[in-house]
Amino acid sequence: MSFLRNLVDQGRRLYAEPGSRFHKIWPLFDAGETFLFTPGHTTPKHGPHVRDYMDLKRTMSMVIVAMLPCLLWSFYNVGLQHFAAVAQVASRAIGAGGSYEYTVGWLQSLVFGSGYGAAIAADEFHVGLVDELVFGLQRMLPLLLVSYGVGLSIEAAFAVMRKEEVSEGYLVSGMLIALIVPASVPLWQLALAVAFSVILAKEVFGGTGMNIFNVAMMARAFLFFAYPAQLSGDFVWVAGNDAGGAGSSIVDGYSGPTALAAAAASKLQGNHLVPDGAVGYFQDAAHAVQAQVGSWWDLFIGTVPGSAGETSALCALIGALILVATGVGSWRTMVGGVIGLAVMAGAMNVFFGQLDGIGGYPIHWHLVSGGFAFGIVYMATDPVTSPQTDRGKWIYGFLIGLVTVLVRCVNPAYPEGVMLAVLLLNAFAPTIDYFIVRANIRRRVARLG
Amino acid sequence: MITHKIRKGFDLPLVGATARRFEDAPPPPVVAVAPTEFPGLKAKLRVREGERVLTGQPLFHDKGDPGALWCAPATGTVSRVVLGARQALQRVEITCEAKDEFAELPRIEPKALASTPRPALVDALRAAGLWPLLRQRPVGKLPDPTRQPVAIFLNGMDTEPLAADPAFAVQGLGEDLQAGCDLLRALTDGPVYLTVRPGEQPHEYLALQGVEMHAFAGPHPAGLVGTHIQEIRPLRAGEVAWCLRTTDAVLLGRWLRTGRYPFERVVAVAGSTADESARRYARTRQGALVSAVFGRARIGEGERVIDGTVLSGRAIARDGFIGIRTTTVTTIPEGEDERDLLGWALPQPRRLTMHRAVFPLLGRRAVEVDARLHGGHRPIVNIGSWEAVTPLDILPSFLYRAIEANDLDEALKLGLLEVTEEDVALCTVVDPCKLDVGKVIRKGLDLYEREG
Repeated sequence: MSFLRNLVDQGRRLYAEPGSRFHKIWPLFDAGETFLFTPGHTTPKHGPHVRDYMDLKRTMSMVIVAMLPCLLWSFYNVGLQHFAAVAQVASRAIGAGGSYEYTVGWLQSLVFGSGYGAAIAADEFHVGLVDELVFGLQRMLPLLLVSYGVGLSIEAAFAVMRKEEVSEGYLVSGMLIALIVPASVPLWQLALAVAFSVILAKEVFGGTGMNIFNVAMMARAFLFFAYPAQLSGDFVWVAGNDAGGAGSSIVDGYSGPTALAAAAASKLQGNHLVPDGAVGYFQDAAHAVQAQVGSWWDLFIGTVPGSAGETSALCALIGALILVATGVGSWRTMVGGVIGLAVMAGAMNVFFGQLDGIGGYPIHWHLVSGGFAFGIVYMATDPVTSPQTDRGKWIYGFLIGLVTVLVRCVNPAYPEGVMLAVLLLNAFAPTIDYFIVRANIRRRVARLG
Repeated sequence: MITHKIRKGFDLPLVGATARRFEDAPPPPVVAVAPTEFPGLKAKLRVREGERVLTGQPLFHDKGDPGALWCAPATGTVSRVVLGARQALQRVEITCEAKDEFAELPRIEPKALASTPRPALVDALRAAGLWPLLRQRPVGKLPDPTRQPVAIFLNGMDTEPLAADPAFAVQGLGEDLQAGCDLLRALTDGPVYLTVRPGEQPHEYLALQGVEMHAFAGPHPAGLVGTHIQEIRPLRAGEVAWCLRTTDAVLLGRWLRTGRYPFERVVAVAGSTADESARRYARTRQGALVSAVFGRARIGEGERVIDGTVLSGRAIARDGFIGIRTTTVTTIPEGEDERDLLGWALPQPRRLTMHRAVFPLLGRRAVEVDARLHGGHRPIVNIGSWEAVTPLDILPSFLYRAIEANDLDEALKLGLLEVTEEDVALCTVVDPCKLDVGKVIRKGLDLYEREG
């Protein structure tokens, strides 16, 4: 430790003083130094002389800790979905008299050797946990690397330009972005999305603490509208291996819809002249999802196709408990969101329950489907883009839940609504606060005349 | 007696509490009076270096308000006049003589209080150098003598960390306290509120005539006058209230009864680096050399000596002087060279915090704390810390933003006049982004004084 300390103390001479060799880029050194050691600044001579040990580094690292379950789950589930798809496509090809060749990725050939493709083909694609994790890491590590690499470089460049310390905000956004895109997304698109959102959604407003829209959600929205082919439909949710092309990495020929897409496309027996049990017709939306995607428990645990890190409601729940227990995330937003979702889904059930599509999708299925759980826990609770008042947080969460279901059920184009709901309510957060603040002022006037 | 329960707030669990015993501190060789203790005061010197002064003789006055005087707390020679930037007076030092001779002060007969016109009372107080003991709300500076207070808040409690307990410090001073209260009664048509901790009261409080007693339970800031005003008698637009502590009222009463300048002070010494022998209620003199207040104990290097508490005091040098209103002196380690390896990532069971993210246990032991910031300055990222320690019905982060945007109208609507820096001190302490909330509040109040 004293060795490190000496290193840091010596290093400081290189940049700390104006005029020293690297002074122009001091924020970069400072970021490294304060990562290792808490800063040595003391309080001013007037005003409170002591400070709480809590700082923004710890605040942000708590969010990262809360996201770890989702990240670990993504390593596993990306591989699980991949091999399930590969096995299905291969058996179909072999059943039709053809053959199936498995393309080996970089990490797989590094870990298992170049004969890996032939080996698992010989084993009829029966794979274990290690194979799944290796594949998951093979897809997720580049996503994380690109997201953090691009984002932090831009942040650091702006910090140097502004002569400010590098802020910790992007440490959370970077991981969020990797978790809310499909694992199959091309890396150049991801890099573009990250650059777009860090520069135009955050730094132009002044950096961490000043942005209006959630940075990670903006990255996803950019991808969603700029490259819809890689971010919607039934073909993108299961990652494959690049065959060297520039396209997205999907398992060719495999269609894996998300639960919400399956629910939205469900046809109910009662509404059509078909016999019970006819192929493609279901009792209700939940049965359609159960037949095509997985059971409620599959959705809850997260063994279904979807964006890399947001399939598991269970992991999001664990994250929510960590955020609430440490006091970093607002439980008001989360509870408000669940209530809003339940109210709107209930209303949809009552009014549209008998129609084809997602109208009759039950509340508890809504809760575990798509990115709602992830979104309300990690995105809606962003302290910068959500309202600053306690009452405002209730309203904000409630409306996010409500709009999420509204988009899911009423909008024909987008099966998932949480992204749009969070961004919409980001825009309204200051308005919500405005009414809470006016109420405070009215109370003051009533009290003091 | 009405008991008010304050729910939001935070009691800083610090080691280094003061033992509940009195001790006469050695007489200070030098005393000082510093106008820098009063922000905004432009002092005009009335004595010269080398001049002999008597106890209670005026040393300087405010250029903007010549009626209010600051008086010498001891008899002796003006040994040093310290000037700062642009010749602004920093302090006047007096080398003390062994025996006090008292300067002639304006005199009010206790029996004649009721018949003395109020302006005469105010003038006497101001000429006797006792005006600096009072504060006016809103804004929290010296009272404007031309305005009538609608009430006087007499604070008989203190919830700041390691602060002297006024209820203990006034022991045996019941007669002075009563005289002081009588004087306060004569200064206002409104009531005089005495605020106390709930539970057993010292007989000095119980015996007080002419005050309305209110008890405040709960964590700090339950003991701040800002909290008391909001709970008992919120101030309407244009109204002012005066406030002071029971220990200050004792001094007013002593002047009333004796006609002499009340230079005596009882100062609690506290803090983790203060020697145990020093941590007691020291009987000393206003403006005393701080080392004299510590008695035999030494003040070590690398210690921050605070004239006041860690929340609202001001740092003074090791050879500095205590102030006019000082009742507590705290010392903590400066901590400059301390740097914790990966401090932001590891659980910290022995650090000052109200955040569960730092250490997740509910019940906390008292901790040693130093003067470090424990983090870098960041823009506002609000995780609800400010709100959790603010019992007043204000929205601190919106008030902060309104002031930073120089929007005085909005700041006033948001309750700027209900707070001073001490009411938001806890916000500053707990803020993860290390913002100085109190400084911004004072900036807003300065703006109000200039433009309001």
